[in-house]
Amino acid sequence: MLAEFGSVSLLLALVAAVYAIIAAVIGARRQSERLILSARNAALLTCPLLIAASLTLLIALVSGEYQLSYVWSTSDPNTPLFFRITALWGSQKGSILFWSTLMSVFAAAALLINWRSQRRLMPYVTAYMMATLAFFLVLNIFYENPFERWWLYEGSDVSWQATGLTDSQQSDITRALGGIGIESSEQISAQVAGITCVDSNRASEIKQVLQGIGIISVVETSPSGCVGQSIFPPEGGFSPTATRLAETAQGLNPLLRHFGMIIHPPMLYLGFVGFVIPFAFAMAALASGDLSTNWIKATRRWTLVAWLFLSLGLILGGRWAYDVLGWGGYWGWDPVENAAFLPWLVGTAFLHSVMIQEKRGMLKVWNMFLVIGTFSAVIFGTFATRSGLIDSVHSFARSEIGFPMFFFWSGITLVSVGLILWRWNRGELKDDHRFMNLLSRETLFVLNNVVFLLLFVVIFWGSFGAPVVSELFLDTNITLGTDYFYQVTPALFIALYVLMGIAPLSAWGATSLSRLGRSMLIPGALTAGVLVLILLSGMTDPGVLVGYGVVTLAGFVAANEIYRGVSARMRGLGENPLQAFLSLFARNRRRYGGYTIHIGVTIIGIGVIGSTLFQQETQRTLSVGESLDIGGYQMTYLGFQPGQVADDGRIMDIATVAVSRNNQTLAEIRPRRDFYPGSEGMNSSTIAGAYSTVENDFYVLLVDWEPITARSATFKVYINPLINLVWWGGLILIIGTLVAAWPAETVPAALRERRFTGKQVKARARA
Amino acid sequence: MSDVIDELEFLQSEEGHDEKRAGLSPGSIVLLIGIVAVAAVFGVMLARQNQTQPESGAAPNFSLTTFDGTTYNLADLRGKVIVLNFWASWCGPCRVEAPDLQTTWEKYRDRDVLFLGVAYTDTETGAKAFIAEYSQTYPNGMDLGTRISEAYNIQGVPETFVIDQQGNVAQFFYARVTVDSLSAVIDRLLASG
Repeated sequence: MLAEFGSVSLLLALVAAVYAIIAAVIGARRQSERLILSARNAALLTCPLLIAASLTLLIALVSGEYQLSYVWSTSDPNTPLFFRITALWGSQKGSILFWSTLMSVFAAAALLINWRSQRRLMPYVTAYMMATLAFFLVLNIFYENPFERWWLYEGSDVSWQATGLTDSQQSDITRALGGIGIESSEQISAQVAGITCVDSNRASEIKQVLQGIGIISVVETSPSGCVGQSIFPPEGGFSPTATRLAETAQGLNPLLRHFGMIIHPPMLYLGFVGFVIPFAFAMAALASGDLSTNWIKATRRWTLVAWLFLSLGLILGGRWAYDVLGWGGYWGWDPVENAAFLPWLVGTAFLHSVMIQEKRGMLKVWNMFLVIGTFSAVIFGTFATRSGLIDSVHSFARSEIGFPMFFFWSGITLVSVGLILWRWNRGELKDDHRFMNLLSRETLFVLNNVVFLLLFVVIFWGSFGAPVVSELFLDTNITLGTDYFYQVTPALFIALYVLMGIAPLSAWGATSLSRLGRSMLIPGALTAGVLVLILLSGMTDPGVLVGYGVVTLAGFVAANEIYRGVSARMRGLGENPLQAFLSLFARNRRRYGGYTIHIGVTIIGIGVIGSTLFQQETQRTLSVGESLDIGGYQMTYLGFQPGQVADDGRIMDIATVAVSRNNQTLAEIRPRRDFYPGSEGMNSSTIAGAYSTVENDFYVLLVDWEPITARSATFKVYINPLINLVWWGGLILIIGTLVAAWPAETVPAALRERRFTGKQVKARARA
Repeated sequence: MSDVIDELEFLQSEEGHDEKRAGLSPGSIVLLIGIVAVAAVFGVMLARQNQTQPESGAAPNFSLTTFDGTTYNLADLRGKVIVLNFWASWCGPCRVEAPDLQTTWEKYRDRDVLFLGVAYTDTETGAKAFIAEYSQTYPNGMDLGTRISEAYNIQGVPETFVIDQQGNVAQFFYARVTVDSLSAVIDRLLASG
């Protein structure tokens, strides 16, 4: 029942999406209000339909409906409720459904919120959003359907193996089998072949025919019945017994059983699907010819929301890697991590350069490229990680969806770029202003964009370009490891922090050097103070000093701007500090939210430099009672508890160690190895134990131990300085983005007009 | 996909009457060709990744460091018949075929035949326990980074490749091997080589 309901909802959603595309396009062409509204309603309908499909799968997961092969492969009777729910996105099929559902929610929200204000763009927006959704629904229905069920049917599989069959022998086999009315379902290759499920007397007939051709080894496998997967029951199919299904169920991939993994994928998906909205609006602008800044105004907040979720997804992914993958770090420059980082880079560039178009009417073509680039990177990332194009720690199986995704990615990229070039060549994307001054804010923003794109290029090359090109053209397999990324990216990141420090102080149009110098005075002095402190602590490495100098300067500039705003309000309006702070942020959410994000990025930067450059590690085998020394700490191996069984059936081998400093015990931590007896493949995970302080993490991995006695065990110990700043900086970044994206209260038009002109006058006076 | 194309065509027909429309500039053409080229490279790569196990032709080269520390490089093993078996300690069918592999190895170990066992996504502890359990005496090692499995495009375990004296794949076993099926291939190669 559940499977039928889910499949039908999915199918109806696809029908609605396709109808919406057709109705929207024809409606826009004939200017038929009725058709356009009908398209909108159909597009809105996909949302409840897909929510129903997701809920159906969720009910099946929670109630243990193991006949659904998705439920069977992602949970088992021992799986706790919590992980049954998260299993919804625990594997390819479910995650595509979940992704489509989120996309339809976003699409519905955009249609409802922007319908009135962007009336002219909406038919095209509808068409583009629904085209993207329809593509994912096609994947979900025809390639990766989460509602497929296990079926048993009478009969047996016949398979045979032969040595070096020639082409003509192979066609003989096909012909002979055709002669007795069997169409060989599986490809007959030179050596192995099989026919799935024929009834038992046919099986012996096939055997005779094949042996007649000279194939000696013909085997009847599973003579007691065959197993198959399909949505609707095949002819003569019956469902396996509930006990058998429950006994064989596989359970969720062990690596996914972690808190970070529970919210990391949904956040990342929200970030990914969120970018469909700015993309659809940009395409609508190109298609409709309304090339004003309307599309940017409409999508500004949507872009921020998508960016918020993408950032959150990246940070949580890092946290998950740090806790579960057991290699002492949070960012391994793995292709899949990079695949999610690439859209973030282009998206961040877009968030900045869009301001130039809003304020100065410049960079129109560039912004179009960036928004398309972001969405193209999103689809590329999805394609690259789910198709088995590259190999990585992320275990998405190789699957059939590679080619459909490839064609979708290259198709949307080409069509969108083609549209931009076409409008551009017609001279419809001319900028209103030209670049005047090297030190203007727009020039600095363009530089920021260039750096972001350079980062994009080097990371893309390292993760996808070099491995693919080397394998195709050089016939070797070059995989650029972390060394490559540590060589090429730091200079670019430093350049970004420099720009982050200068750009907020520059003005639109032009800035004089002396004015810039004056506003740099306080942040510069504070930075110098920090550098003196670092020098006094005995750190003289110029690289470290430059890194910390540049990073902290950017943070001080942002903090100083906030401080200046607050104190101006306190002086001018007599507000108390809290009042002044709150109303400052309320009056200009984007600006001060932006500064808050800069402070968050600064704190992340401090954490990244500390944990990357000053990480200490050691590996040692200790007997019970023995200690090791690292970085002023002492770690003592206290004991071992093997074979602890947890609620969900996993077996934990736990070591207990004490961490002390200056003969004072600070904490006892328990690194462990979890073993999942039920699962195939990677069936164990190494869970680190960590003692966290502001200063650093004392991070211990249990590598190996003596079987049975466990009198001695091998530990890998890391000291990760300042690593917690990465998470706290992330939190500040999220808060800043929320401030910037939070909907402002609706102000009556007259009042808004006055406020706006007031600001403009002030801005002009300052410039 | 076709929806997007339809829409593009519709746009062109709507704007077709516009006289201002000019051809694409050289820069635009270069950009478009660039995108097509990048896409083509990834398309070819994808097609390659979807390849199946090699059943004939030159066997992909690999080097395997076994549990006793010896490193075997396929290119250095010309003149020998190589039986390359992929397995894992967590795999049921591998347990069934393990005794057959050991028996066959004992049968041919004094000829120009070398068996190499490759443990696929396994833990070292698990793999060593498996080897001890089935008293396997031929060299075995871990497939670190699943490099060898990828080169041979294996889809699961067990899978076995027999490589002839010239370094070509002579036989691929998708299913588990038996003493008879494996001996038949080895005998044929020893007789012809």
